[in-house]
Amino acid sequence: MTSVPQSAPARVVSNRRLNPEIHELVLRLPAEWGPPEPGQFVQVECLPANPFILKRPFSIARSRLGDLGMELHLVYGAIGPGTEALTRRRPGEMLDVIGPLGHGFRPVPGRRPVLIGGGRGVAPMIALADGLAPNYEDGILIFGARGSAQLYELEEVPYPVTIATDDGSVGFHGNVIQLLEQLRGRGELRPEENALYSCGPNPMLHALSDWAGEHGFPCQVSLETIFGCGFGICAGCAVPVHAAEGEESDEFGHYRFACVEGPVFEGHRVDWEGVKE
Amino acid sequence: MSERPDLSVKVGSLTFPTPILVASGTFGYGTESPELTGARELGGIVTKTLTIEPRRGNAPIRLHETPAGLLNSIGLQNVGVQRFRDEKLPKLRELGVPIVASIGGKAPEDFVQAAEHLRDVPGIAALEINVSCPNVKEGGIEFCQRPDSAAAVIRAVRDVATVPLWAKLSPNVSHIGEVGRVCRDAGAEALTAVNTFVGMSVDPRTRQPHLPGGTGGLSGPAIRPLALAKVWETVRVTGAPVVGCGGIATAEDALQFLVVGARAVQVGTVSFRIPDAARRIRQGIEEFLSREGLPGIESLIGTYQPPQ
Ligand SMILES: Cc1cc2nc3c(=O)[nH]c(=O)nc-3n(C[C@H](O)[C@H](O)[C@H](O)COP(=O)(O)OP(=O)(O)OC[C@H]3O[C@@H](n4cnc5c(N)ncnc54)[C@H](O)[C@@H]3O)c2cc1C
Ligand SMILES: Cc1cc2nc3c(=O)[nH]c(=O)nc-3n(C[C@H](O)[C@H](O)[C@H](O)COP(=O)(O)O)c2cc1C
Ligand code: FES
Repeated sequence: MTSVPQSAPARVVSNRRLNPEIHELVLRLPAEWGPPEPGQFVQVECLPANPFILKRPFSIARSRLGDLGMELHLVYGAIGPGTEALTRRRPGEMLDVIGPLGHGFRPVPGRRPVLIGGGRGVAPMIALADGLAPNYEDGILIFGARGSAQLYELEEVPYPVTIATDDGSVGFHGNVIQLLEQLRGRGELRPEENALYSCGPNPMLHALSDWAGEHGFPCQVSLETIFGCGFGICAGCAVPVHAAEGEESDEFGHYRFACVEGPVFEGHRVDWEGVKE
Repeated sequence: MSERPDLSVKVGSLTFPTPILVASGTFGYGTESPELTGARELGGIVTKTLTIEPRRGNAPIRLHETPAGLLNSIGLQNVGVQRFRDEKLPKLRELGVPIVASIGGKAPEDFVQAAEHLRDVPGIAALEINVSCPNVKEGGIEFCQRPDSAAAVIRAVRDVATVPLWAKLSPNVSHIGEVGRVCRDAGAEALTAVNTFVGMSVDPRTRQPHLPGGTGGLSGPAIRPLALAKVWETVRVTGAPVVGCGGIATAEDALQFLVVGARAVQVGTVSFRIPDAARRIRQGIEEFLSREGLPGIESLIGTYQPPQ
């Protein structure tokens, strides 16, 4: 059962820099909060009593129910005023959080999972690995980044991690698609045995969805777009999708709300031409 | 112990349990996560603007945040009036809150058809006629910019509707009071003021607008003083019941609109950040009345002391 979303104050447990571009925020919520499903997100107040009128969406990278409550790990990049303000939050501060929100990943039964995280998009892949591992033993996680400066240590991930960097400074030299192509060529990935799950920059998800479609892999992607509310009331987060097979038109003429029907979509359903990259 | 203050208000011929409603397009169809939004405790819910055919809405990006404001260009994405009536309304009615259905269209006939689909439908207290959307190519804001055409829409709907009509006015006009008067004379029982202000934001690096359509509608705390001035003008010039809207985020904000004479208010963008903001505002107003020793909200409405 998907948990009913709540609005609750969360205590900042820690907030630290993982590398020059990426930070990790750990929040503590009441024990009754959630539990979230892999791929779900939270809307976070980046500055208490803040001048922003919107909260910001972040994927849940990890959730753990401890003695003191539900701990959420978020992994984020400081790219604008909201996330910059978030880097300044200190342990003990309280931030309003809404969640868990959205439609997460749906495991494809019987398929060996291949998790592909690009940059800070690796966050929900950690949650997914945690969620899948008890039932799917032989998954792998691919962490793609531009170079070593964008990487960070993934702690206690239940799947083996393979790194791919564009500049070849660490691990496989190339992007995640090139790595997948190599694995497929070696027979280590098969469309009838594997399922792909991914989060990362939109151009990467676009290329991955095309590649998966070409070779017949099921592929789910967690998309980012600009959110107003995160729970379906503003219509700001529209993602264009293709009609499902046999489907004429639908209520939104094929715009879906990423915050309610996503953020996870089947890669081939997304009308990538209409997605801002 | 004093008694709880009476929050019920009359807007024209209708009575609302509290003066705090939520604004069109900022509360979905009212049924999204009612636990989160506290929808059951609202004075009323104004639906997303409904059109005769479903509308796909504008291409992303649809939102851009500005200082204390939000620019939007949603483009009236909605399921269409029939699917609203058949699929959304039954659930919305279960909340037990007065429902105001917002309708929109390009030409008077579109509004008439939309109104006909909602005619005699139980649970709809009023129709809000959106003659002020800034984000559609046809049938939006220009109704208010040409008051005769706004009046034509209201008259046409008046002939078929079985509930009171509210005209939702655009602030993007020189004389909102005049537009309001024309709408009232055409048969609008109340006037909702205001819709969003036309605004714009440009990325100096790319030289392109942040919203692909160039402009959008500005809402949020940034517009509150502008909206309040428009509401005051509408109240003063028309003498009609006015529902105030624009930038309300706190009980204090809502009280300002009520003091200048709005009979009720609509809360919009703030619900995105604080889902149950409208409920909290209502609580704040209750506390204010108790503190001030006022028996109810009616004793505050329209008590503005203008400069002599
Ligand atoms: C479901 C979801 C999950 C997310 N999870 C994470 C996460 O785990 N970690 C993380 O670091 N970030 C995540 N994001 C993105 C994050 O929400 C944004 O980076 C944040 O809102 C930016 O806020 P800001 O005020 O710092 O910058 P803004 O000023 O809001 O943005 C800075 C610039 O980036 C652009 N921009 C911001 N967000 C987007 C977007 N989604 N698509 C295209 N352009 C954009 C803006 O237009 C602007 O030019 C997620 C987004 C979504 C929708
Ligand atoms: C995302 C968004 C969508 C809106 N959609 C509609 C709409 O469909 N019909 C309408 O009459 N007003 C619409 N509005 C305008 C609001 O109802 C309200 O008039 C305006 O936002 C000012 O109030 P606020 O500052 O409290 O948000 C919309 C506003 C926003 C922010
Ligand atoms: S972000 Fe508001 S509807 Fe999706």
